[in-house]
Amino acid sequence: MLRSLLIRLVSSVGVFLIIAIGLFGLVRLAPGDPADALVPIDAAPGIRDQLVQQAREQLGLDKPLPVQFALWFSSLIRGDLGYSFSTHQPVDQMLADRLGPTVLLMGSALVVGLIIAIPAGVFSAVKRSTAFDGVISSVSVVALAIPSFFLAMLGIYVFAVKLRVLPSAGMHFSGDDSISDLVYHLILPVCVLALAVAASFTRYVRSGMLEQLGLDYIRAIVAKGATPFRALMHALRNSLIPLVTVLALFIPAYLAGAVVVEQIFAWPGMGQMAVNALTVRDYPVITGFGLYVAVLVLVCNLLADILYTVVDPRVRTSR
Amino acid sequence: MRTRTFAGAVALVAAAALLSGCTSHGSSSVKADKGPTSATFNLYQHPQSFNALKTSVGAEALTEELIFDNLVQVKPDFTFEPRLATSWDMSADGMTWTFHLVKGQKWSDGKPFSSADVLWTFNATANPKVGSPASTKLANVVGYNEVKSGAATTLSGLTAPDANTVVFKFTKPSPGFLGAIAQGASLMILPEHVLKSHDPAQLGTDPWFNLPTVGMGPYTMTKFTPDQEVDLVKNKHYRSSVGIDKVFLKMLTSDVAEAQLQTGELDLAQVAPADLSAVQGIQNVKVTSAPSPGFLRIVANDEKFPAPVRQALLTAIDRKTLIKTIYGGKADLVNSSFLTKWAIPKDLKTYSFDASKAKSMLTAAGFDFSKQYTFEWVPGTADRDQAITVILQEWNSIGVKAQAKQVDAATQLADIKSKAYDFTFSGGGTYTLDPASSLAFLSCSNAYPAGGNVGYYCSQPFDAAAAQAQSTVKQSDSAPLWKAAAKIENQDVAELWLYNPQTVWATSTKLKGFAPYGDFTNVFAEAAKWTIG
Repeated sequence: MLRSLLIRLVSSVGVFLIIAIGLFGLVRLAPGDPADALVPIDAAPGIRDQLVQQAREQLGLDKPLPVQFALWFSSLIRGDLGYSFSTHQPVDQMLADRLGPTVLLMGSALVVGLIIAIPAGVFSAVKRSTAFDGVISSVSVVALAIPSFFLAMLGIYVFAVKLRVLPSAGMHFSGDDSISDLVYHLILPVCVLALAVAASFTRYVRSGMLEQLGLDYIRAIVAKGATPFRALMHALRNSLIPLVTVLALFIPAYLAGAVVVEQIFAWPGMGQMAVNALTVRDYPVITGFGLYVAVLVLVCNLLADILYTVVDPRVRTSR
Repeated sequence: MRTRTFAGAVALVAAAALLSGCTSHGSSSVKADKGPTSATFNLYQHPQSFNALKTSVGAEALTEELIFDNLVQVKPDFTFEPRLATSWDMSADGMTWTFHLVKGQKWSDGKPFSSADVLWTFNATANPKVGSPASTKLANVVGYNEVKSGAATTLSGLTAPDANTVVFKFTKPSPGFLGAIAQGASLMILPEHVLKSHDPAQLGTDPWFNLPTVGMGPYTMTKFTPDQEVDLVKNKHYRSSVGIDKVFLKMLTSDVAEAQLQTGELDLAQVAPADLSAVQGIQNVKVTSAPSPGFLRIVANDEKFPAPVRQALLTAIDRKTLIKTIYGGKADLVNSSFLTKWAIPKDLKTYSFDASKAKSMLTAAGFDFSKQYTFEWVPGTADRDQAITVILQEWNSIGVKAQAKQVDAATQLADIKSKAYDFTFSGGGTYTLDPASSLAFLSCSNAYPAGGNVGYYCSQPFDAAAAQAQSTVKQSDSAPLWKAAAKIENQDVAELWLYNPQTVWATSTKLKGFAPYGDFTNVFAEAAKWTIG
């Protein structure tokens, strides 16, 4: 098993490098000139083109593309993602600063969403075709149909503006960096995001459970005198196997797609940074963000492989 | 299994909290502060850094107004206000400007302020290694060409006879110099004692400007969390008393800003015309407005659309109705790119809306009705999004086949550079009292990318009239020349001028002393006088 994991790890590094090369090319194919975007359009009458050229030279964009690639790639191999064109800060530092808030927000929402989704899905399957099942299914469909940005605005209106029980945006009140204040600010955005997670995964868990509950081994367990709860646990464990695959695909897309909610809640995460970088064609930050998403996909897939061995002993023994 | 699952969940949350705690510096909303007074203002954009040598627009410029100061500023009534210069004189021939500086003042770190700081700032601005867009404002200062060519590192025409006096000598009459250096956050004076050891070639990207903690402004920056907040405390060495102890600048979407105005978390926000009615209904919030020096226009690619076509297309737009419906009347119709009142003649053509006349004009001009045209715009600004829909409908109704094309800012610039575009929106305006600032987007020599003339309008008679006006010292003498230039531009329809929206501000009733600046780039100019409570 260790050998197969090592092989996956090595192949992941290869995939990462291929993605990195592709990203470099794709970003530079986008229309627009970063040096042009850095000089305000009517700020320097008569000399603007000189300033743009100067910026281009400072950023190394005047060099031939293969040279730019060679410089960038050699830095990447050394773990250096370069400097932002607009803030002049190291990109790895910027990514590190933004990673925490994004992981905190999205990770909390994911955990809360799963805590809701798993029991809701299980009971929905157990109480199949009852009023309870109908309510859960209906709520899931409605929650899936409502865009997160609308829920966010609704949440702000109801809980921050009308009821005034939660803050409307941000990570902290000014001058208060305490954990309790952070948790207070997390409640609304996490609830908004968790609802979408819960709605989506409730349906996965429900269908997985329905499939498992109809199999012979569950009847055998019950026939052997096990309690219904124990039978349910067996079914749940097996129903989680496909969920691991879904999660592995879901998490990267989820973390990369935080843009809108982060913007609404003024949450200083990766999404905000990526949007700003795209607007001004900040190549190092855009590629840095792209590589972050690539790493997420690769790591999540690797974790999924490991988790398979935990939730499905057949995988472990077959390897 | 259950234990492992639970432990995993706990570990994930704990790790995330730990990670966030290690990396974030955030703070956003403001708690009622029992001790020092505090106020929270919204920034309509997200600042990246506060390099006063590089930027003069947007949220960065606004923030710089709070932490730095310039020699002269423009007041809400568009007259000059002494700042670090208490007075100034121009010689009769317009070749020399002398500035008398405030005496006995200190930087926020307690070091003395003197003419050496002013000299360092202007020399750094002129230095080509720094790459300051403002360097063009010093082009007529004696010695500029030598600095530009690298033969000298300082402007020979810039001297300091004593610690409180600065003299500029020019190669030609420069009556507009005062207006050029008084614009918003332009040419903010920087601390020589902090920056003189920094490499000029690196000043444009110097990390010091990511958290500039030394300035002459009413506030000192203590923390900057990108995309979230800027924290400021009052500068105890400021040249007058400062009314609010702490100021927090937040970066919120307009919807959240509106919500925070309602909850009392926000004390000041610029309001988009589309949100005006919603904000006017909020309790404890006051809405004020002032005429803006900025205006919205359609830039037609002048190389594709000659003057008669531009005249016709402008005639096909019902601008009065747009003002009424989109801005609730809070905008002024303009027929010139000049906004300085004394430089605009009263008999400009008005291009009043007349669809059938516009169609006839287009036919007479040989306009190709069979061709499909594109109107590029960067979406996201409510008033522009609404205007483009109406304008395209009006053009389509007279047979002009034009369709909207959403682009981002970088693509828009690329299309302007390649001249591939047909029409696009352009904002901005004349943020100084000097009509010469309009030349940045009108004169032949400023055709993009050399300057901001993105429509590629080029008229030799216009340039000649403007050049003559620029070198005329007395306003009474230059006014007729500027009016002649404005008339040519109005006749040519250099740009399809739409309107001049008023700047609308929403303030909490707790914020006292606020005066609405039409020039939104200057709104914090008087922030030291504001109080809260």
